[in-house]
Amino acid sequence: MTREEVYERLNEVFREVFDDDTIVLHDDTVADDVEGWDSFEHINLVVAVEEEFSFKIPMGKVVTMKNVGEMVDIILELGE
Amino acid sequence: MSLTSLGFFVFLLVTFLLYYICPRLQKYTLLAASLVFYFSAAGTAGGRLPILICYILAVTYVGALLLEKYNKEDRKRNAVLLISVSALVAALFVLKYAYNLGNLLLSILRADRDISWLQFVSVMGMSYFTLSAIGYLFDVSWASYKAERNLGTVALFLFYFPTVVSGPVVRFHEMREQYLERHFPSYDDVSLGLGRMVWGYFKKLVISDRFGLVVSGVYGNYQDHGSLDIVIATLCYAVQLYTDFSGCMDIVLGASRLFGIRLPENFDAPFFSRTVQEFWQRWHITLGVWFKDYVMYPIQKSKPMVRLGKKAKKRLGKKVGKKVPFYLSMVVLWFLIGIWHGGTGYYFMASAAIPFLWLMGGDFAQPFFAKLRERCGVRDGAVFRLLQRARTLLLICVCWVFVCAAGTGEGFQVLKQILTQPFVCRIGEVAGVGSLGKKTLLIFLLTLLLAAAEYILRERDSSLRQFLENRKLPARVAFVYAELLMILFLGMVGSSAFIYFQF
Repeated sequence: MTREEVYERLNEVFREVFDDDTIVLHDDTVADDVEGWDSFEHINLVVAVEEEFSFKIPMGKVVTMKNVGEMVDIILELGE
Repeated sequence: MSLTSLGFFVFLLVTFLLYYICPRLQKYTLLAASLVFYFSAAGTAGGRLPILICYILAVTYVGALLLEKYNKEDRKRNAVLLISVSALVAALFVLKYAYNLGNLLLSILRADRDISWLQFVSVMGMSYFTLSAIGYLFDVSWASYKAERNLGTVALFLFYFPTVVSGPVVRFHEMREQYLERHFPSYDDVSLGLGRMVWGYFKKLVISDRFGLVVSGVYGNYQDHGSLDIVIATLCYAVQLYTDFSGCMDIVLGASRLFGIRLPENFDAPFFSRTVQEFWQRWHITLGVWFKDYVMYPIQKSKPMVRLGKKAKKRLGKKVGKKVPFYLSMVVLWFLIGIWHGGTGYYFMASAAIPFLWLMGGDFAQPFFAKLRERCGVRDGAVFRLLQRARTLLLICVCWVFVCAAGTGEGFQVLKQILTQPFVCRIGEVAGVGSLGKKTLLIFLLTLLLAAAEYILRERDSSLRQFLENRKLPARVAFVYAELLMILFLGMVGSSAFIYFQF
């Protein structure tokens, strides 16, 4: 899976979770950049990402990821 | 040894000198100083402290090593986590909460039993370092980092003296390198550290204790006071509590900075929050983040909750259904926060039940208010933001009515008083406003000025502290001198302990 492919699928997940078709993610996108991405939606998002990519993100990663770039790194690492 | 005593300054100076004179032994100097501080500050609980310290340290140290020994998929790993976390929680529960919770239960059941045997002498800082220890065990179990092999490093992480008074709740991976690297005295660390400490003493001794006079004056006999008096006194409590707790944090963060060690911030101008949710993200930050990471997230991400969320989405629709696991995790989270604050009935109301009610109410009502705002064409301007902040402050003050009244029944009585006595106003008769007039009024005005300056600077993405730190040296020195003079002439030196010390 390439980084671009991950972004393509991740954009869809974000648009679905936050009901916003205009979302376009970048490495440095953070919670403040996406309306509704608060501590509650964070777990909904993580669960949706897990379902999309068919693996579990460990809790240690869930609480430490700081931006979308880190999320993509985790997906690439776990997807290998 | 309290943070406002002369003994603390002597202790800090001696530790500072030893720390930089023997750079190779910096970690051990801090560890020895932390134990000295802890034993001298522990008061009557001192006799039992060595046992408690050894117990907490042994459970944390051995628990983490065992967790690492077992594979992630191995069930023994979960068993070790459960046993070690339970061992820490049990100690905290027995020593801090059992008596209050027992009383709360008896009052709910209207039973009359003697449970004085459950009353132990309170151990300073226990609810802070126990949370740090539990967080460390979870992190190792989640393989976020490796378990620490050096016992001294774990001991310092748990009992580092600036953090044992009232937090902040620290995370091992944020502190480890700072404890291990060699620090050299730097101008920035010393000047910013001392400046921060003076600012903390100013907040505590000049502002907090003075506002406390009005609070105790009105709440001491609230039956004689009307709506306005009680509202003013509760707003004064908001100032008292914030300057007390954040002042304490300024002192401990500043003291730690003297050793080149940066502790996490615990406040981010909470009274400028536009919603109750935002307030709790900016007040006692490290505690909130701890509960979010180690309670709320694991509950929401657990298999039963994910399954429940999916079912709820099917039945109730996507928008409502996905909130079901969130609401359930919030019930657990606020219940635990209520217990953490001591488990007494009125603290439970103030720190758990009412905040939970406001948050849930806000969540339900938010779409309605958003539509209403859109229809009325209200812009997100400065006035609107100010009104939102005032509303948030008043909602938070409703919680604190119960703390000021020091009783659940009394709290409701005060709320009734506010609603039914609009025309009684006796604030002028309160000691500290009437008889101590000039000094108190001067400090009230000064506080208002500082709050206004902070408000304006925050609107411009800055802060008072940032503004002052960016001034040239003479201006900074003049400000520190002004603070010191005010502490000397207007401060209520040696009068009271810090409020959050009790937790």
